[in-house]
Amino acid sequence: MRSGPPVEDGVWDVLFPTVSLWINARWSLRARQLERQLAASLRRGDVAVVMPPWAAVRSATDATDLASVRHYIALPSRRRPKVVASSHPEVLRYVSDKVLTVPPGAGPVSGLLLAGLLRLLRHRTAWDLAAAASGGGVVLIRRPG
Amino acid sequence: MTEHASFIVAGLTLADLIDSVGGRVAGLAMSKDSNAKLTIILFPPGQDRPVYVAKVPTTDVGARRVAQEAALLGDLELRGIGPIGETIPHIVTMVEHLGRPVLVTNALPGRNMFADGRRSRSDREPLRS
Repeated sequence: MRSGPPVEDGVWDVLFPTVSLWINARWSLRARQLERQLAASLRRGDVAVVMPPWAAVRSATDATDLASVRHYIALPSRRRPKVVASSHPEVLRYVSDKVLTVPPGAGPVSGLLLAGLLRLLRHRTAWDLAAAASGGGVVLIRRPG
Repeated sequence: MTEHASFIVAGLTLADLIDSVGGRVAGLAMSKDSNAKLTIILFPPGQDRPVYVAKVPTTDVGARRVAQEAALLGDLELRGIGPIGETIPHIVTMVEHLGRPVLVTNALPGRNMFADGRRSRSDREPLRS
């Protein structure tokens, strides 16, 4: 388990202005590990945990007594995000249907390939897989004030 | 950045706005130029379409552009431009993020024309007569 902020944190600064601690949990994070991390940190504020979406669902719910938990997915990656969406189905559907597009100048083959990938993103599973592959799953844990 | 202070609703921050929709947002960071702005789309609970859009400058130049855009939109609203006004975003409020102004407008329905052109025939909506 490693801690550290994202490299390009413009979007994260805007969406997570109160986060003072980043934790890279890789595949899972148990509530006890999280509590140990929080106790070891002298910094106050909220916590962002990098983990795949399904791992977040399993372990972060154990920590809900600490504070509120929100899930986000970053594409193409957490370190260089172009899109960060909360993992609510309606938000993901809107982003894939109305926001993401094939960039101008893409060739016919790459354009069709990208269009196909964008169609896949209409399904929540594709977002989860993309987040897991790129390390783009992030859980925001709001500590009680 | 204090030059923008008069535009900002006192005490209201972008974080407050994001909290008010329960964190249901999408952040877009496509801009790479010196007018850099992030776009935050906000989805109120229970709604499957965004209601607000926030433009968040990341540089001082971007902050000036956002303030100019707010002034322009405000001017257009005052002019009363008729039915075409429905196609232009309306200012909902101005909030603050790290001392810079954030323009919050209503979200206008639209469609991604480029993506539509690449969809298969079966995916396209039928033409209305």
